[in-house]
This record gives sequence, structure tokens and C-alpha cells, in this order.
Amino acid sequence: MEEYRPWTWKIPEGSENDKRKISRQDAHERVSGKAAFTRDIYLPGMLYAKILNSPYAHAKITSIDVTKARALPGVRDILTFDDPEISHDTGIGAWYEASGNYNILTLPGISDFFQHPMGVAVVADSEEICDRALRLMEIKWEERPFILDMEESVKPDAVKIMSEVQRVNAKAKEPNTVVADDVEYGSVEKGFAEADKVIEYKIKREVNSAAGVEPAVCVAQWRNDFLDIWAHHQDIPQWFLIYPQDSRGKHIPPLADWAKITVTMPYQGSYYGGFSWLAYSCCFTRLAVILARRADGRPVKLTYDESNHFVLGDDAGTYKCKVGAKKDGTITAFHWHMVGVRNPAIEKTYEATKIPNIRGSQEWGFVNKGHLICFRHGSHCTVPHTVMFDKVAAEFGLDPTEVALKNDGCRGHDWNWVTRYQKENGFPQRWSLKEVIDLGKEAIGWSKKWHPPGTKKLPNGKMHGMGFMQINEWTWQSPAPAMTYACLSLRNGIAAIIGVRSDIGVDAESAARSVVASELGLKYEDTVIHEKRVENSNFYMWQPGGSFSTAYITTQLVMAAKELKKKVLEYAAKPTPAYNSPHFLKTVQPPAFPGKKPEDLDIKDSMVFEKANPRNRKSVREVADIFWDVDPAIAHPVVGTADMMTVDGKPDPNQYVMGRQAHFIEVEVDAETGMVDVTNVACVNDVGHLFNPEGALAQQYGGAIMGLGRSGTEEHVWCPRTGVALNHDLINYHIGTMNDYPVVQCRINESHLGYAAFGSFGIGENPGAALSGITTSAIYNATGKWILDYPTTPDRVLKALGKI
Amino acid sequence: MAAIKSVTLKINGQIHELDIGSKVGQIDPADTLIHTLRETLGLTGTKASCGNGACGICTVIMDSKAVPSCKILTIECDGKEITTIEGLRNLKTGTLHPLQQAFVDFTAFQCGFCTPGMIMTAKALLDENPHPSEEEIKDALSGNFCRCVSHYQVLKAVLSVAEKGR
Ligand code: FES
Ligand code: FES
Repeated sequence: MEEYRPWTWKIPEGSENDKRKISRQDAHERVSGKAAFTRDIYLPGMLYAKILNSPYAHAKITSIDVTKARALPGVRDILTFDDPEISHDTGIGAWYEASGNYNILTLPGISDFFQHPMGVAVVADSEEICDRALRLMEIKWEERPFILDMEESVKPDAVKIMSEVQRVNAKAKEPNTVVADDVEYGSVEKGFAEADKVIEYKIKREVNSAAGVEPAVCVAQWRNDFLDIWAHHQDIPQWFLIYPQDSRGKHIPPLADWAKITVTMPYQGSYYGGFSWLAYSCCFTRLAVILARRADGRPVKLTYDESNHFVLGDDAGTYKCKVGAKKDGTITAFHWHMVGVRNPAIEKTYEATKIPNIRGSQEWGFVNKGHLICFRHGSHCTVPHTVMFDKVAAEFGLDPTEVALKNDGCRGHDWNWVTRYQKENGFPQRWSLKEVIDLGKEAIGWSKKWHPPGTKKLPNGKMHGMGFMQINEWTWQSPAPAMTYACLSLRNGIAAIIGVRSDIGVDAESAARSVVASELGLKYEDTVIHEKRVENSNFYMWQPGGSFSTAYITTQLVMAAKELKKKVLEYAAKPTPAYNSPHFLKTVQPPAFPGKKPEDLDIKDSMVFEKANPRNRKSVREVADIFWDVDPAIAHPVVGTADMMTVDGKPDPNQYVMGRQAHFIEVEVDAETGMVDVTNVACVNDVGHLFNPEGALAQQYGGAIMGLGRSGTEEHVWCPRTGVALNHDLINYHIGTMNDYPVVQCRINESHLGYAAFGSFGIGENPGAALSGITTSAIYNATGKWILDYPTTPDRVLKALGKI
Repeated sequence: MAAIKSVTLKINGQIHELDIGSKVGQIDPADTLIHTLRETLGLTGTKASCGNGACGICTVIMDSKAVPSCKILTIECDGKEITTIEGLRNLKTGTLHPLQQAFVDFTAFQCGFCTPGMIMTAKALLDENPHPSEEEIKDALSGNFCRCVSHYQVLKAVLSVAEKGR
């Protein structure tokens, strides 16, 4: 068996330059208004549906009278939470919601947070009639006590909230703890004993949101027992239509047979994933399907308002941190106790340091703020990571970049060990962190500008500060498991990559085209993405717009392209068989390259040529097209599959995350107003292997600004007395626009240290999550004061400075 | 003043006379311009997001000014000349407007949901001030929200058009 080591593959010689001229296939549509997003789907006879938004943070509907609403002209259907068709429908298994920790009802009768879509759904001739009908509902509510502070929620004597939401994690605790976890590597007690100093501090983060631009929407239509769905979603949502269970643990029959569901993923308006949002959108999709089932074949378009996009929240939590370190900056142990969502937050630091003694403990409690998990990976782990290195550097008067390098490693192993691992397993011997730090320092002028904390006042009276953080890109840096496939067909000399499109804008597609072009020897413009609707398939070409797009798919695409190229060269050397059709060849035709063997030939710039005599050439179209109707192997998809990563052909649980990312900012802090101006940003991303320069750049820009927003300005505010959200809108939730941030200096490093094709891993998750703690680092350098209560808004700065 | 019975809009060079009423295809007095464009006339190139004037995504040009179509009632638009993203291309040849082409050339979008609004805002700016400075462009576009952050490429794209013929 050929050794399967995609990171050792090399891009065919000469094709490397192709990626410099990538143009997006979807550009014309996107600038001309022709790109159809899910909101833009209009079907004949379509009805509209909307759901009630709860006006209370936590309240039960005790009665609902829909008489007036039903009488409104244009209202076609009303479904209430207590209807037997929906009353126990969870819509989704526990997996999606909070990674398997609890289940939510598709249409609950109790609101868990302000603006919770719940209670009743209306179907009508227009969205406006739906809105009017919802206002005509006569509802009696029983308000319930609510909790906004998670530290309160996890106390054993807290009032029980959200009692109808099923806790399904075995580690759930009464009354409100969803998960309690404790993970330890090595012995932190031993590590603390070895330290020169043990420092303790607490970090707090308020909730922030993805706040995407296209509000949620789903169109569903039944054709007898066949179901068509148009989904604003980053995943293919058939499976949760198939495998639901109800809130009593009973099986619910599938809404439709798997083979009879067709899903179309139109263009997606900025979608950043997020488990809680995915859960909502799954319930939401399910509800659209149920409403359409009642609509007698008419399509139903279910929509949320933009404010509903704020039900996705991230980053909330507190972290009590204890860190032991030696005077030279070597960290001997740390323990973070997190009261927050997801998992104990140590995963990235464990992956990307040599720190031998690590402990993460966690309590995750319900709060009435919307279900909180993460988006764009989330900063639950990046923020405590950033702060720890800064704290240690500050404690011993060290440069934080030096502290980072001192502790770099993989899962407790130091970099010497990693270098040996690289050598033994065919990786280049590179030290990614050193490389990205050097590039970033140079870009931002760190060596000249960094100074001891609180020591530099600018002529304009403001304090000058430099901030730094480093971490690895997403942990799973390998090709996808079996559900991802690559599917190519070649006709008229054009290679079509056939797959489900659901590109949220990250443009994994151009990377895919580039890979196929270089591997097959085609010109980039002789490749296309050929959109396929999902039918009767649990395979998809790439996780659409998700966290792993490029690294997931390119390995399979290379395999498929190699296979296809081999076929083309074989055909070039053999006669074309006769084909018994009035329209096609009647007689055997001589080979395109008589007397040559496949190994004598190659393909470049869409031409097949003889290696020994490159002037002997024919286009791929001439060579391959003639076989199209006689050999389905060319016409039909070539499928490449890749199982989970193996090293030396064996399943390998130890994929070491060797790529690193480093980010730097420069700020000016106004000590009178607390305003923090970010004046300079440098992002250095090691992507392993770069496929699409413009796509990578866009991720750096977009992620950097999102990260800075999460670190410095973005937070949700709730009224502590009513639990009402005060800024679930784009006016009061502060996201930067054109004038707010300087140009980001973007640098890319290619270390080839990933496990996917050519050593790639990716970029999309990192900047958005990594920079979400960086302002603290720079403000500390400017003022000598810590702000560990995120986001670092002016009031918090003034508080830290003792001004208020 | 007698209640008006219909509104006449000139959209992308075409006259639309629309009756006011609550039947299908009519203009309800509560209809916003974006509703009429998208739902009544099928011009879905203009996108809707916040619905409250915050994001600039629904921007169209009305009588030479960039306006948020979610904040304007259609009945207020009687007699107005409106350009949407669909009206920017050369409608005979299909050639993209230079601004649209610049957005393609600089890949000044990611998901593209905010792009029609960005382009229309920039178009209104360039119509009024063909050679704006970088600061003027930033100011004009500072009300256009882009969560993907295509700002940097947008700026380059608009600057490239602004600099032509200087
Ligand atoms: S949708 Fe009109 S400004 Fe946001
Ligand atoms: S390109 Fe996605 S919101 Fe602007």
C-alpha cells in the first residue's frame, strides 16, 4: 500500500504561480445583485411564516387566544406550542446543541431569554400579515425568575431556571449546571511547587455575537412525500429531519425519507457558525418543514428578524487562573477554573505548549441570555491563553514574545522533541512560532516600540502600548473524515468540481479550483465549481463555509485529480474504441499520441504533451473528450476519499499541532476618556500551505477586525431588573465599520506543518478568535494596569486607572 | 389633501405605476421601499438586514442620494427616480458598471450580502464627487456595515474608480 502522507505531497512544478491569479467564479453574481441568498428565494404560491419573540427573559405562556389573529385576512395557519404536532418536538438530537449537553424544543411554551423565538408560529400571505397577526395574539404569561450571571447560576442553592430544557450530559448537576468537568495533564500541584512564583487572577468576559447580516430564513416545500428545502445554514440539515426524538425520549418518525429530501444551499450572508446558532437554525429548519407540511404543497418561507441573530452568543464566562512560572518565563503549571460554556478551555494551550502540568476545570450553567456557545471557534480558550503569557511576562519583566517562545511545544513536549517528530514523519524541520513572531515583530516594529508597561507617553498626551498574542489555528488540522468527498468530471477540457455550494464568503471554492488546476495541469480558468443539490446523500464536498473548508477538501481533491490525470494520459496513448451510435465514432481511431506510453506524456496549461518533445502537444479537450461517451470513467465523477489521518498507514491519535499564528497591535490610550485607539495591527498566519492568497487575506482582515471588536467594543447588555436585552440591534451593538480601524498588515507563513495536502491547515478560525483578547495586552503595556473584564470599553479603562 | 390612489416610481429607467391598496401587487401604505422593490417588483438585488437604518445594506439611490430603503415608505416615493443594483449594469450590453467591475477586480466582497449597498453608496458619492479622497470615501461608506470586513478592498476598488480620469 502506498504510504498515505498528504503533507509530503508537492504541488506540481510550475503550477505554483497559478494561485497568484485566482479570480472568483461568483464575482459577477455578487456585484450585480444576481447572487440569490436564501432570503431571495421566491416560489410560486409561497406563504410566509414568523415566530413570536418572547418579551420576557423567562416566562411561561399559560394561555394563548389566537381568535383575533386567525380572523385577520391573509392568515393561513397558526401553530401553537401546545399543538400535539409540535408540543414534544425537540427538533434535534442533543449533539448540535451545546455539543451534546442539552436539548431544546422546536417551539417551546416557555421563553428562556428575551426575544426567544417561541410559543406560536403564524403562516400568512406576507411577512407583514404575520407580524400583525402575532401582535393580535392574546397571551397570558407567567413570569419566572431569571438569572443573567453564570456564577450565580451554578451555585447549588440557585433558583432552578429553564427546567423544561433537557439536561442530557451525565455530568449535569442540579439546579442549573449543564456540565461540570475537570481535566488534568501531569500534576499541577507538582508544577506549582517547582515554580519561582505562583500568580492568581480572574478574567471575565461578557457575551458577544456573530451578528451576521442575513437574518435566518428557510424555505420548505413538499411535493407529496418529497421535501425540498432552501436553507440559510452552514451545514446540510437533512439528518436532523430524520433522526429526532421527542422531549419524552420517544422516537418521532422521520419527517421525510432521507432519499426524498433535496436541500439547496443558496449564497450565505456572513455566517460564522456557532453551535448555539446551528441548534437554533436546525430547530428553525425543522419548524419550517412542519409548517410547510400543513400548507398543502405550498412553499413556506420562515423568517427571523435581524434581532434574532443575536440569540447566538459567545465568550461569556469567568476564569479563575492560577499560574506557576520560573523567573526565565518557563511556565511549570496552570489551572484555569472556568465558569463558562463549551469545554474547559485548555485544549489549545495543551496542543501548543510544552507546559507539562495543566488543569482545566469547568462549570457551565444556564443563564437567561440565549444559549451561549461559540462562533468562529470562540475565544473561550484563546483569551486565558493570551493573558497567561502576558501575566508571566509582566511578573518577571520579560518581553511576552520571549515567554511565548520559551513555552512553545506540543502536548507537553518541547520543540526539540517536535523537531525530531518532524524529521521522523516527513515534515520539514520548521519552528512555526519563531517564524511568525519574527515576521510580526518586523511588520509592527516591535523591537523598537515595545517598552516596559506604562512608560511611554506620546506627544498627544496619550499612553502608547504594544500588544501581542499567539496561538495555533484550529486543532483539527487534518483531512476530513469519510463524509467529505471530491468529485470531478472532465468535459470539453473543463474540469468541473461537483459539490454542494454553501460558501459564506470564505471562498474555499477558488482554492479548490486552484488545486485541481495545478494537479491536473489545467489552466485555472479551465476549472469550474459545478453546483450540486444534495440529494439522497450524506456526503458533501466540503463542509460548506465551515471551520475546515480548505484543509478538509484539498486532500481529497488532489487524490481525485491525480486519478483523473492518470486516466487522461492513458487515453492519450490508446486508440479510441468504436462506439455504436449514429452520432458518434463508427470506427476505431488511432491514439492521440501514437506509440507513446502514458509515462512519456504530461499535462500543462491544459495541453497534453510529450515530455521528450514538448512541441508534440494536443489540448486536453482533444485528447479526453473523444472518450466521453465511450468511457464513463471520464464522464462520471472520480471520487477520492480520505479516512481519518494516519501516520505510516496506522491510525494515529497523535496529530501534533505544529503551526502557529501571531498577532500584534499598537494602541494609544487616552487616560482622560478611557478611549483606546488601535493604530496599528499586524497579523501573521501560518497556513501550512497557501492555496488562495486573496481568500487568506480576506480571512485575516475580517478575523482581525472581528477579534478586535470582541476584545474592545462588542458586548451584549441586559437590564439586570427585567432581563431584557438592551442592544440586540446593529445601532447599539458596536461593530467597527470603515473608519474605525487601521489597515491590517497581513503576513502569511507557509511552514507545511499541517497533516492535509501539502502540509496545509488553514486560517479562518484563528484571527477572529485570537485577537479577541489582545487589547488587554496592549492596554497593560500602555498603562501598567490590567483590564481583565472584557470587552475593554472606555468605562472599564477608566475604572482600571482609578478614575471612576 | 386628497389621498393619493397610486404611486409612480421610475426604477432603473422603467416607470412603475402601482395602485395603493391591500391586494396582491398593490402598495400598502405601510410598505417600505425595500418591501416594494423585493416583494412587489422582484428586484431582490437590494438586500435587507437590520430593517432600522443601521447597516446600510438596503441602500439604493433616490434622486441622486444614497438612501436606506428600509426606512422609507413607498408612498413617500411618488415621482421619484430610483436606481438599484440591478440598474447599474449597462442594460443593453450587460457590461458591468466601472464600480462593479472594480469590485470584481479587487475582490471587494466576501459573502457579498452587503455588497449591493456598498456599491450604491459609492456610486452616489462618485456621482456627486467624482474624485473623492480616501478620507471622503471612508466617511461616505462608514454607515455601511460589513461583518466579513471587505472594507479594505472596497476602499481600494472605489479609489481605483475615483482616480480614473483625474
Ligand atoms: S436594512 Fe436598511 S439600513 Fe439596515
Ligand atoms: S461581504 Fe459579507 S457582510 Fe460584507
